[in-house]
Amino acid sequence: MTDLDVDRDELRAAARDMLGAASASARVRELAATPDGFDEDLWRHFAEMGLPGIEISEDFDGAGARFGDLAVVLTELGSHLASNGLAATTVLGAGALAAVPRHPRARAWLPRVAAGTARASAALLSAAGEPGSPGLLASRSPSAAGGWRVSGSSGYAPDASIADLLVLRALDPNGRELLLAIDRDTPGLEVTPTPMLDITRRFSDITASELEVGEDGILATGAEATAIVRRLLDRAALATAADALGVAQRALDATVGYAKTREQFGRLIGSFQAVKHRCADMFVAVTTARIALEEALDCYDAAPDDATAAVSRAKAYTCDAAAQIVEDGTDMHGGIGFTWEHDMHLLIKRVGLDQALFGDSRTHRRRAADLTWAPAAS
Amino acid sequence: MDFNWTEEESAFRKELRAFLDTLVPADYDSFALSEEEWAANSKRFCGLLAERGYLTPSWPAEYGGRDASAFEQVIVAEEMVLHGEPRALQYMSVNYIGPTIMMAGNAEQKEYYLRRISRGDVLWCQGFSEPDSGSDLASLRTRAVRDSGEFVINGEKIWTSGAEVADFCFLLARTDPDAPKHRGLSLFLIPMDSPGLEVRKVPGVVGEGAFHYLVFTDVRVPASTLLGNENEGWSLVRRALVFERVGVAKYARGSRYLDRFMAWARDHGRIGDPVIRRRFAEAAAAVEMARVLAMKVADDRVKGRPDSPVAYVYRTASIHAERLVMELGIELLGPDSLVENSPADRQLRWGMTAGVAGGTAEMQLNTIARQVLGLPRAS
Repeated sequence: MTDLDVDRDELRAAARDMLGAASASARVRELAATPDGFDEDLWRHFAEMGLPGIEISEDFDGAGARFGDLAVVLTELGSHLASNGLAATTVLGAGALAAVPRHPRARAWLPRVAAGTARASAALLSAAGEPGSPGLLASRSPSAAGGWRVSGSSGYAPDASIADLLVLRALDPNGRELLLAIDRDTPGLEVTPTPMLDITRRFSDITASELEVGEDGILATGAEATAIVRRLLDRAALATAADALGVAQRALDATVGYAKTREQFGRLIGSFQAVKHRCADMFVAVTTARIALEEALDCYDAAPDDATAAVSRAKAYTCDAAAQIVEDGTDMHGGIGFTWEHDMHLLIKRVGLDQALFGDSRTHRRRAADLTWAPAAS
Repeated sequence: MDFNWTEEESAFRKELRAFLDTLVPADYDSFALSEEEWAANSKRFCGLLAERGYLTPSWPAEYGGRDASAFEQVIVAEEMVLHGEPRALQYMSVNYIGPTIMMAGNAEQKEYYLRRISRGDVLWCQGFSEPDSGSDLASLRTRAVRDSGEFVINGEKIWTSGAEVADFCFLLARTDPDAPKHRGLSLFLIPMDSPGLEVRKVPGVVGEGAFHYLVFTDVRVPASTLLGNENEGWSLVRRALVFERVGVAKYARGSRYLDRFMAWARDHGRIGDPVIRRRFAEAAAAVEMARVLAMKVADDRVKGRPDSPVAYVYRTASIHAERLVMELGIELLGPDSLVENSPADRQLRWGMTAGVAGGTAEMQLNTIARQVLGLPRAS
C-alpha cells in the first residue's frame, strides 16, 4: 500500500497556519458585514500557496494533485469558517473545465485559475436547491448559429458574486443536458446574493433572461454533459462533507478546551464522566466521519464514476455527525454557547447548511441504498 | 493511507475464499455443536489452514508464518467471520496470544508455543476477568506466589470461553500485592491440566461454547510459565488488548448478517419498504465505517503506531454497527427473529454482548476522554 499521508499532513498544517492568521474569528465577523464577504488579502494567500490550482493539471500550470488533497484544504476552510471563493473555483469551476481539457474555454481559463487571477463558480441546482434537475432551460438561439438562448433560475451557486466565470447547467427542449460556461458579466445573466443564516459563506441565485450563449460557450452536451454534471455534484457533495468535518473538528476542539477550563462544583467540568463521555462520543463521531470521507475521496480519486455509493454514504454520515457534534458541543458550553460573541452559533448555521446543500442526508442515503440494492419499486 | 487491496492481497483472498467455500458449510454458525465437537472441528480446520499457510500468513517464517503483509492477516480475520468463524477459540491465539508471546517470550517459549499455535492444534483460553474485577481489571486478586522454582496460584477467574476444551490458559495474576495495582501483575502460560485447576460452566446466551468459572487452588506451575518480566504484565496486557480489540472482524459478521437479512427481505417482498431500506442503508453505512476504521488501525500498526486512538474509536463504532444490524434484523423478521438459531437470533445474541465483550463501551469512552482528549481525572 502506498500513501500520501505525509504530504497531506504538511498541507493541512500549512493551510491551518495560514487560515489561523488570515481567517481569525474577528476577521470572519468583519467579512460577514460586507456585501460580498470577500477578502482580497485572503485570496492572495490562497494564490501564494497555489491552492486555486492544486488539482489543476500541470499542463495548465497547476500542481496536478488529487481531489483528496484539495479536500484537506476545504476541511480547514470549514474549521476556520472561511470561504472566499476557493471551494467554488476549485471544486466546481475548475472541476467542470478540467472535464473538457481540450475545449478553448478550459485552455484559456484553467491557467488563469491556477495562477490565482480568476475565480469561477457553477449553477447546478434547481431554484429550490435540488440536485435532481437544473433550473435553466435552453432553446436554439435564433440569432447565433450553434448557440443557445437560456432562461430560468438556479439557486445556491456558491460565491457566484465574486466569480469571473460561471458554469451553467441547462436542459434543451429534448430534455438533454447542456453544460455551458460564460463570463459573469454577460448581459441577460443576473447574480443575486441570497441572505443566508450562515453568515460565513455567500450563495447567489442565478437568473438567466434570454441569455445568449455562443457555440464557444458550450462545454458539453447530452450524455457527456450529464456525466460531467453527475461528477460535479459528487465533487460538491464531497467538498460539503469535508467542510462539515472541519466545522465538527472545530466544535470538538472548542468543547474539549472549554471542559478543561470551566469549573463548577469546585472542579473542572471535564472531570465529570457525563461530560467526558459526550466529548468522547464527539471524538468517535469525528474520527469515523473523517475515515468515511477519506475512503470516499480515495474511491473518487481512483475511479470517480465508481465512487457514487461511497460519496453518498460519506455526505450523509459526515454532515449528520457534524450537526450532532456541534449540537452536543453547544450544549456543553452552557449559556455562553448561545451568545452572539461565541462562535458556536456560526458553526451550527454553517453545518446546518452543509447538511442541506448538494443533496440532503435523506437523498444521499436513498441513493446509497439504491446503488447497493435494486431501487425500491414504488 | 491507501484503502485499496494490492494484487497479491486480492489474489490471496480469492484463493482463501475458494478453499473455505469448499470446506465450510454456509450456515456453519447455526450448527448446534457441543463444546467438544466445536473444539475438535477447530483443530481439524486450523490444521488444514496451517498446512496451506492460511492460518498465520503475516507471522515471521521462523514461527510458522510466511512473512506476508499484515493485511493478509486482516483478510484471514474477515474471511473466517464471513464463513462462521470455524477457527473458534483459535482466533484468540492467532490475534493476540501468539503476538504477545512473540513480543515478550523467551527463546524456549517462542519455540514451544508459537510453533504449536501456527500449526493450529492448540486451544487457549483467557484468564483475565474475575468476579470482582471486570472493567477495573487491574484490581484483580488471583495471586501467584513464588516458591523456589515454582509459582503457586490461588484465585478465581470468570467469563472464560472454552475452558473445558482449552489446552492452555493465558493468565493474568497478581505477583506483588504491595505494589500499586497496575505494577504488581504478571502474565502466565498455564497448562489447563495443572492439578488444582477446576473448571465450572456458566451458561450464557451467546452459544459459541459456554462461559466458565475457573478456580485455582494451590496450583503449582514451573517459573518457566511466566511470560515477560515479573510484575510487568499490565503493559503487555494493554498491548495485547489492542490486538484483541481490532483482531475480530466484527464488521464482517455485520455484513454477513446484512446479506442474510437482504435475502430474507427479497424472499418476503419487503425489499421496497422505505423504512426497511433506510435501516438497511444506515446499518450498512455503520458496518462500512467500522470496516474502514479497522483498516486504519491495521495501517497504523504496520506503520509502527500501535497506540493509535483509532482502536478505541473502532471498538465503539463497531458496537454501534452491530446494534444497528441487530435492530434491523428484529424489525425485519418480526417474530421469526426470535426463533432459535434464525439469522436474526444469532445477531441478537451477538448484539447483546457487543457493548461488554472485549471491554465495555463506557471504558472505551473513558480511555478516549483521558488519553486522547486529555480531560482531567475525577479528583
